[in-house]
Amino acid sequence: MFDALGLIFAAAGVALFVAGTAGLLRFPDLYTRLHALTKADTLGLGLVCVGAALHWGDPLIALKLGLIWLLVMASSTVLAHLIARAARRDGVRPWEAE
Amino acid sequence: MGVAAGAPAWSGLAVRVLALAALWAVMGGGSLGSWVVGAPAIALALYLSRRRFSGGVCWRALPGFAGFMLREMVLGGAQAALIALGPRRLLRPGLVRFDLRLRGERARVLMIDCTSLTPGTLSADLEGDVLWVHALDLGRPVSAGCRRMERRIATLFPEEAKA
Repeated sequence: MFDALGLIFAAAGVALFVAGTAGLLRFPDLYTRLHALTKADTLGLGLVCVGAALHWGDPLIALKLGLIWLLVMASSTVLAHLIARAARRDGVRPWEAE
Repeated sequence: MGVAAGAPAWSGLAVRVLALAALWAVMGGGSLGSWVVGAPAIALALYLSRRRFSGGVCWRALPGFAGFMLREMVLGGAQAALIALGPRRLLRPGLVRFDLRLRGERARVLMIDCTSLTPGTLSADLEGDVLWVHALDLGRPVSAGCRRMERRIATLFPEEAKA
């Protein structure tokens, strides 16, 4: 039961990683690509962590996965801001739709 | 650190050491050898976080804020994924100027970090009191969303919000 549920969460997480990577390839500029990386991948990792926690069924492993998720989330959002800031101060103009 | 705050400062340090050690113990899985890296890492973390901030954190507001952020993150990830896979016309990006009302440094850092996890917004730069927000879709109410996030963060730092 938990295994099936874990598999569903992990599969959804992988789908988000695929979508995030699609955004990284398809989006037109640095800023939009950062959106895909920070948001889709953070949610993807969260879902994979929930799936792994359900699979192992061990509270300590679940706690560890939760911490990993929080730490990766924190570093990904801080990095996204630093990259966007560096680009903006370097004069990188955002892409605009016609 | 205050002059008369000798005892509380030491107990505060002890709490931080214990919290970081517990964090490391969970991450390292209790292996003794991992402390070769863990102990210096904890010392470094304590040194880097040595700055003291005035004003407390309202911990009671944290569960509500965490729930709000979890919802924002799920919506943000799903929306970014849909736009990434969908047609190009869903994309109407641009920079939006947002005048920050939050004054405290911690509150502003949290604002910058949380904005990038919220649907359609990415904090691109902070210039004085102006936060430049990059939006995926300018057709959505970007400023209103940021204002809502700001009010949520203000509940965590009640003293700074008033100042």
